[in-house]
Amino acid sequence: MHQIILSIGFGIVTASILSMGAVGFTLQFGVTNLFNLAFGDVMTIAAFVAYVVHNDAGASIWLALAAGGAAGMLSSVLIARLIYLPFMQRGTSQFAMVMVTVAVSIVFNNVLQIFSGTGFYGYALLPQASVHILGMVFTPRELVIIALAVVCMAGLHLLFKYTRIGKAMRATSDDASLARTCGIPTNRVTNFAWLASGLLCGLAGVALAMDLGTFSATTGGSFLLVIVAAAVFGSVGEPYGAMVGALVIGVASELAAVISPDLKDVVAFGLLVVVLLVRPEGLRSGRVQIRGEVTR
Amino acid sequence: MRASRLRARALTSGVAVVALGTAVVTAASQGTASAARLEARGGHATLTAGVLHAFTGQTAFFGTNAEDACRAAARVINANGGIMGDKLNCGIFDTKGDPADAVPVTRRMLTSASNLVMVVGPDGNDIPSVLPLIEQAKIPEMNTVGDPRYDKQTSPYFWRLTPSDSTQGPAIGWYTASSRYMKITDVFTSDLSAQTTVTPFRNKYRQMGGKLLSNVTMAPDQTSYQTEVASLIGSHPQAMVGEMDPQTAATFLSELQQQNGKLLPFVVTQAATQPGWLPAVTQAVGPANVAKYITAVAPDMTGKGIAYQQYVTNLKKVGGTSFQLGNTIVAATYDGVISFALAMDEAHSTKPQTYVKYIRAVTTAGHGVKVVNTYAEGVAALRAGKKIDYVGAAGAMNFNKYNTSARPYAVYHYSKAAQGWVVSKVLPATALRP
Repeated sequence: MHQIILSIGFGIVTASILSMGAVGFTLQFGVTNLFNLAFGDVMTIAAFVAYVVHNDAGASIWLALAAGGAAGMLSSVLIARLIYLPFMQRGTSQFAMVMVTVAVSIVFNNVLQIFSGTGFYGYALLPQASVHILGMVFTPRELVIIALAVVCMAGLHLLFKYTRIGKAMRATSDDASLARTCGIPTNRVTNFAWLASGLLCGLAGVALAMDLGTFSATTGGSFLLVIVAAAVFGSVGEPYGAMVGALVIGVASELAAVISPDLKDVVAFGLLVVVLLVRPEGLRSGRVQIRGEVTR
Repeated sequence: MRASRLRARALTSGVAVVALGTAVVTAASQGTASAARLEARGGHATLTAGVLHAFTGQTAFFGTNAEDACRAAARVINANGGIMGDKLNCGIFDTKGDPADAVPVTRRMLTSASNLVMVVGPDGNDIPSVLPLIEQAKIPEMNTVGDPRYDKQTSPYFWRLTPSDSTQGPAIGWYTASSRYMKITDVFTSDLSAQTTVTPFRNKYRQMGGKLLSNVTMAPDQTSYQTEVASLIGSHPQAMVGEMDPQTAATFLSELQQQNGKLLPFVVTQAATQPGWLPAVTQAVGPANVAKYITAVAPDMTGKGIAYQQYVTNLKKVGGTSFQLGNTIVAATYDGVISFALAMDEAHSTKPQTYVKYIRAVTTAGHGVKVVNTYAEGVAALRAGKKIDYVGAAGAMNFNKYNTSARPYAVYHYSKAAQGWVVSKVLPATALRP
């Protein structure tokens, strides 16, 4: 029993990192209709920016985390404006756009490797004493990561529910042309979506690198699958679903490890298959409308 | 009209396919025969060592290390007149560490590399899929894979520069029990390269009176190993023994340090001496903890003497890193290229099918055989009509009858001064018995 409670705690930490990544990923898809497989590489860029800020410039890890978030925002907007949007404006098909994102991912990955080499990097962090909460064990840094994820999720909820831009994002996600007809500046909304998802992507990248201990040019890309799984679990394009997906996959995989570590991925992806069998559009199906048109 | 046009198109396509097929077959045969034709012409040209490894992706460090080792060796060979006047060049072929990608890349190497005389690689991920192609093309290859499936292979083109994992298991079991760690937990990742060590290790360890408290098998490259770490700590071992890839080891050990407040003594296989492991783990838990808690048991490839000096000098000239200088796998690969070149000199031929028969001849000790430590010494001795045994930067190669290097094993500790592993003692031959 003690082991199960411990594993729930470990699962919450994993779910916190996953939730930032999965919600960022799904937010991009919800508003822009783009299944962006270069998402993991932006996470890696953010992790490297935080490394420079923390290890080289000597700033605190939390300032480095903020810098990583900013790098995620900037990278996402630049990639969208300079690469994705020109393709989308030409009416490139969804499948072709996925291939464009794969190409961008490969280019980014290799450019990162040129600059970083094939070695591993890690933030210079001192070991911390563990904190025991309800039988679960955390470090103060993990508690901050959990709190950060909660703040991000709550912030998104407030954004969608109570702000004009949030409501405009939901409207654009449901039907971009109707939203435009109603006077919503969809261009600005899309830019904001890239910024918000880029922020979450950057924060997830730095948090992941902190949690792993070390990272390399391929780290973000190698964890993209589980992020996509959490997003698909909760219906792609549906931020609340992605939050639930991250929590279920994060906790279930740690609980499975109590029985056997080999079952981690089996349980996580097995659950995904079961959910998709029962509800083909994911946990919160019926909430998302895939747009056939692209905003300028 | 339409039918005839379709027939014409089909015919054109058929001709194109046949032409393409012919071109591929011709190119393939040219790849292996060009070195022989070059000899017949009596001219000098550039020979190619095909470095077949991952240069991109998670295991890209395999590629960069093999490339640097090859370039350093080629630099030495070329500075000493080349191989019978022919210069050696290292060509890069990126398998991306993926067996599916490795096959077309290998085919491209075999058909496009001019005067391909040797293959440096492949690594453990790719070797099952590409080895048949290399053997079919009859090009000698050198690898550092530990997979015991190749322990009794009989191909003359397969040359393993490091010992098999089947000798590693007993060695690590012997060292663990000899160090009085009599209650341990083993922690191996679930991949084939780690799992091949598990049973030989447990057998030897139990034979020596050791008690295995629990075992943790981990899937590589997960976001977290906290549950596995909690399970390990719960079994209260004196030490842990195992093998993990760099990223997994870094995450696992940093989480162990965090949960337990400190690391446990960790006896790790030769995976720890592979490129990438130390940089990842020292970043995660700090060099002081690596030095205090982690011990590697790996083949003894102690660098010393003129061979090692020349290796260091030339590796630096091609931009080798300080990590590579102390890495035994890189040194063994450098020696592999030098020894293949000496085999060509001994055979008076750069033709792969001919010189392959001389690789053992230039790397085996014996009565009246002159030990040489550099390429220049080897060439001079051969010209003087002597038999040679090349003992290079990583020591004697000692190939057994299955073309696997039967080097002894040693215990390695991390040296902060050297920023790498240093040998603290060589294990006796009894340690390697199952």
